[in-house]
Amino acid sequence: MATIPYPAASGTARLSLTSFWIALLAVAMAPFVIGSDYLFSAILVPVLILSLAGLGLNILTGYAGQLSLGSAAFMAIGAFATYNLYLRIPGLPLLFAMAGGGLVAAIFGLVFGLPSLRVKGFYLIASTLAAQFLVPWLLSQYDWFSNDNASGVITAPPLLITGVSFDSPAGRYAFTLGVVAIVTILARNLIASPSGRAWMAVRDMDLAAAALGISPGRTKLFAFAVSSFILGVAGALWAFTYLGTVEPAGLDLDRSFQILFIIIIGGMGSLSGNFLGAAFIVLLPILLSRAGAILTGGDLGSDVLENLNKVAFGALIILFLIKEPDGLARLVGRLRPTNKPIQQEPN
Amino acid sequence: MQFFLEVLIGGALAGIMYALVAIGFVLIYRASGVFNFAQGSMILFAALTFVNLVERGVPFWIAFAVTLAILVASAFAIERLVLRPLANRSVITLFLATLGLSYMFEGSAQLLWGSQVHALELGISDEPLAIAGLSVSSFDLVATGIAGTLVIILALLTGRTSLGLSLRAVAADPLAALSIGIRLDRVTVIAWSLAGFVALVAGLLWGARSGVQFSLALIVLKALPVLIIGGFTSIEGVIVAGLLVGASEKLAEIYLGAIIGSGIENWFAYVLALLFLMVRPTGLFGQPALARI
Amino acid sequence: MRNHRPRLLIAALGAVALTALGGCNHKPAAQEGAATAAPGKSQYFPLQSYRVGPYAAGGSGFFGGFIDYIQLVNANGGVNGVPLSWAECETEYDVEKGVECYERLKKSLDGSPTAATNPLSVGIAYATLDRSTADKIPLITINHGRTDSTDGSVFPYVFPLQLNPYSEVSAILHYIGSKAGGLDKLRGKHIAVLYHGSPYGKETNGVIDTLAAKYGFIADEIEVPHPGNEQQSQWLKIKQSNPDWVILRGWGVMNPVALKTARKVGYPADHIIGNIWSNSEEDAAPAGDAAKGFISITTHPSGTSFPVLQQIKAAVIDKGKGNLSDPKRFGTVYYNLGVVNGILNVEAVRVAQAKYGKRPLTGEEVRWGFEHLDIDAARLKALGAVGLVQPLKLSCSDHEGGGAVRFQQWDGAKWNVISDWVQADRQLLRPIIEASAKQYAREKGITPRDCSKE
Repeated sequence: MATIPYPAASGTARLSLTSFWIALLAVAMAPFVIGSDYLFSAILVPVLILSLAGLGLNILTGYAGQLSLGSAAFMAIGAFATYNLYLRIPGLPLLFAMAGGGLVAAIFGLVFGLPSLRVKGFYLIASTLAAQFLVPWLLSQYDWFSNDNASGVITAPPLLITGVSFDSPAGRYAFTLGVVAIVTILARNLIASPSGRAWMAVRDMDLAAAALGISPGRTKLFAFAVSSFILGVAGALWAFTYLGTVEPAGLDLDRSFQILFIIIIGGMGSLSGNFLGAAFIVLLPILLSRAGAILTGGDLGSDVLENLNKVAFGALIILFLIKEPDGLARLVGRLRPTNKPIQQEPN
Repeated sequence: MQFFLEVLIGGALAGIMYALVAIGFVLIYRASGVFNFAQGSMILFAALTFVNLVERGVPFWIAFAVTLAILVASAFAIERLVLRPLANRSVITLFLATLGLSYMFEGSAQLLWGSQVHALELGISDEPLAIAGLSVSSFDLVATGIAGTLVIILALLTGRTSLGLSLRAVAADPLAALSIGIRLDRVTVIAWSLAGFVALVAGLLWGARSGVQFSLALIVLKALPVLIIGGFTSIEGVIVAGLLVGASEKLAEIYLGAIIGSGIENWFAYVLALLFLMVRPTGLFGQPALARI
Repeated sequence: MRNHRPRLLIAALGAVALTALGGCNHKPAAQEGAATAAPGKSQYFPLQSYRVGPYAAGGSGFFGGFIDYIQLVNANGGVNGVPLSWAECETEYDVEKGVECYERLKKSLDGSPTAATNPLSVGIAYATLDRSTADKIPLITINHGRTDSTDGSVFPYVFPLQLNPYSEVSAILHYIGSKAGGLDKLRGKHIAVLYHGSPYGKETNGVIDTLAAKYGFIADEIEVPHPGNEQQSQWLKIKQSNPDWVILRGWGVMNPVALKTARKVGYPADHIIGNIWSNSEEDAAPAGDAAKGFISITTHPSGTSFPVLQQIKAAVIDKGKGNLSDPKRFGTVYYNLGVVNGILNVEAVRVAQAKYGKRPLTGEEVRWGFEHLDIDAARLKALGAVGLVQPLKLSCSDHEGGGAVRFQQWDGAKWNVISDWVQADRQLLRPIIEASAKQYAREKGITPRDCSKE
C-alpha cells in the first residue's frame, strides 16, 4: 500500500517556491544553449514523453490504485487516432488532433476500465493485458488505421503549428516540452481537486469511500478515462516528435512494463517522480553501457557488454525496490531544506 | 468434423504445455505470495544451460542434475537477497522485483551461453499419429504424459509429506506457520527450487518443440491467461484452464479468424480470461479473497 | 546520520549522469579500425548492431561479416589509401535503442566523415529514415526495407540494395511457375503465404494479391503472431486447404517452428519456400530433420570457396582478428550477407572517390556513389565475388539495382544451390512502387527529384 502523498505544504516560504520555478525554467531552457542533437533527440524528448506516460499511469495506479499493464496500448491508440484525425479532417490543427487522439484513447480507457467495477486487486491486470494485446492487433489488422500503408506503419506528417515548423531536433524538444508542461499543470490541478481526493479515497479503502458518498465505480472509470487521455497524448508525441513512425509492436507489453517501472522507481502518487523515474529508466542503460565501455576499454564485445547491462539493470531495480520503496521522489524530497512542517505519514 | 476435432485436440495438448509453465507460478505464489514473472526467464536459463552442457558431451541425466543444482542455488540466492529484504511489501513491488530478476536471468543466460539458437533432441519423434482417424502429434501426447506425471508427483508431495504440509501451511497463513516453528526461509527455497525443476522440464519440452532460443522467455505471456482463469493458487485449476485456453485459442484462430481476420491467437486468451473474471472474479479454482475492513 | 546517504547517492548519480551526458557528443563506443590514420582521416561507418536478444544470430553473423570485410580492405591499404573505421552500439533489434545508437554514433569519435548506416532492421530503418535524410547520411537496407524507397526520386538517401520485398515474392512466384511449366500454368494453383505478424511480414500481401489476380492463382495469406513459437492452428489450416506451395516469410524463431509444425501436420518440407529472411543455417538447423528438403531464396550462396572469402580468411581470420565469436559460422548465409554488404558499401565509396577525390567523403558524396554503383561481371571478378554478388546497377530512380535471386535447398547439414539466377518482374512492380512513393511524398510534403535531369 503506497503512503498517501501530501500536496505541497501551503506554508512553504514564497521565496523557495519562486526559486523552484526559476530553477525549473533554467533547466528546461539549458538544452537550447547546449544545442546537442543527441541530447534533444535521444535523451530529452523520450524522457519527457515517458514522464507524461508515467503521469498517466500514476493517476490510474498511483492515485486511484487500479493496477494497469496496458499503458502502451493506450499510447498506440492515441498515436493512431491523432494521425487519422489529422489526415482525414482537412485543416484540423495538430494540437486539436492530439487532443482528439487523447479523447479517443480515453474512450477506450473507459471500456477497458469497466471490469474494474467487478474485479479487484491483482486480477485486474487481465483487463489491461487484454487491451495490450487486442489493440496492436486491431491497429495492424485493419488497413484503414494506417491509411492503407502496406506494412501497417504510420509515418508522421511534418510538425507545423500555425505555419511554424518544429521539425528540427530543438523544435521537437520545444514542442514536446510545451505539451508535457501544459498537460502536467492540468493534471496537477485535477489531482489537487476533489476528484483527486476521491481517487485516493477509493484506492485506500473503497468501502469507506462509498460510505462517504463517493461512488467507487464512477471514480475508477474517471481515473481510467483521464489516465488514458494522458497516455494517448503521450503516444501521439511518441509518434510525431520522437520516432516519426509507429508500428504497433513498438508499443508492446515491454513498454507497459517500462512505464510501470517509471512510476515505481519515481514514486507512485507523486508528480516529480514521473520525471525522475523516466530520466532514470532512459539514462540508466546508456550510462551503464558507457561506464562498461570505459571500464573495460572497449575490449569486451558489445553483446557481452549488453548482457552485463541487463544483469546490472535487473539488480539495480531490485536494489532500488529494497532500499527506496517510495521512489526517487522521496529520495529527492529528503534533500529539500526542512522549512516544511513535520508531516505524519500513515504507514 | 475431423478437422474440428484435430484442432480441438491439438489445441488442448498445446494448452497442457502452457499449464506446465503456469504450474511454476502457482508453486511460488502459494509459498511466497509472489507472482514470479521471472519464471519465463528461468525456463530460458534452464533450457540454455542444459542444451549447452549436452552439446559439450555431458550425458543427459548429469546435465539435468547440474542444471537443477544451479537452479536450486539460485533459489537460495533469491530467497536471501531478494525476498527476505522485501518481506511484507506490496504485491506490485514483489512483482516488479521478479521482473528485475527476469532481466538478470536473461542476461546471465546469454552471458554464459551466448545467443545462438540450439536444436534440442529429446528422442521424442514428432510424426503425426493416427488415432481414431484423427491426426495427433505424438510429441504433444508425450508432453501431456510428462505434465500429468509432474502434477501427480507434486500432488503427492504436497498432500502426503510433511514438507507438503509445511508448504500448505505457509500458503494459508505465513505468520501462523512461523509461530509454530516452520522455517519460512527453507520452505521458500524449496518452493522456488520446485519451480526451478518445473521450469527445467518445461524448458526441455518447449525447447524440443521450438528450439532453444530467446523467445522461450516469452512463453510466460501465454501462461498468464491460464493463471488468471485457473486461479493463482491451484495446480488442478491451471491444468483445466490450460486445456480450455489452448483449445479455444486454436479454434478461435481458425473459425473466428476467418470472420474478423487472422492473428487472433495473440489476444484471444486474454479476452477469454477477462470474460471469465467477470463471471468468477478469482478464477476457476482460486481461493476467494476475504476483504477485512 | 541516515540523511547524508541519500544526498550523496543523488549527488553521485547526478555527477555520473552529467559527465556521461557531457561526454555524449565525443565518446561513442570505441572507434576502431583506423588506428594508424591521423584523426579525421578515415571513412567512418557507424554500426547499430545487435548481438543480443531474439535475433542475435542474424545480427552477429551479418555484422561479423561486415566488419571482417572492412578489416580486409584495411589490410590491403584501405580504399585508395583511405582507411575505414567503425564503431558499434548494441540495439538489441529494438527501435528505441536503434534511434539512440543512431544519434550517438552518427558523428565519429575523431571527426572522420560518416559514410552510411546499415541497421539491418526494418523498424529502425523506418524510425531513422527522416533523420538520415535530414543529416544527409545514406541509409542502407540491403535485401529489405521500405519497398517504395526503391524510388530514389522520393527517397534520395535510402537504398534497399539488391532486393526489395516485392521483387522477392515476384521471383518466388516465377520459380513456382517454372516448376509448373511456365507462368501461365500458375492458373488455378493454390499458394499459401505464411507471414510474420509485423510490418515486414505484412508488406507484401498487397502485391501478392495483385499477382494472384494477374496470374490466376489462389493466394491464402496466413498470419503468425509474433514471435511465432506456436503455429499449430496455422499449419492445421494449411493442411486442411492443402496448397501446392507454401511461401514462408518468417523471421527468427518463427522459421524453425514453422518447419517443425509442418512436419507435425504432415506437410512436405520441399514444398515450402522460405524468403530472404528465412534462408539461413540458423533458421533450418534447429528444426533438425524436419528441415530436410526446405527450399529458400538467397541473393548470395553460403560457402567459403569464393576468392574474397579466402582473402578474408588469410588476411583477417587466420591472423586472429576475425569478428565472429564462433568461427564455424564463417561462410554461412548471414556472414556472407555481411560480406556482400561490405563489398557494396565499399564499392560505393570507391565510385564516389572517383568523382570527388581520394579522401574521406561526406555522406552526401557517398550517396552519389551508391546511386552510381555499376557492378558488372568484370568488376565482380576483380572483387573476387563472382557468384556471391549479382550484377548490380543503381540509378536515381532505381535504388535496388538487382532483383534477382537463386534458390537453395537444405540437405540436413547445409544449403545447396539448386537454380540459376531468377529475376523478379520489376517492370510489373514499378508502377505500384511509384504510386506508394508518391503517396509518401504527398504526406510528407516532399517534392520528388527529377531523375531525368540528374
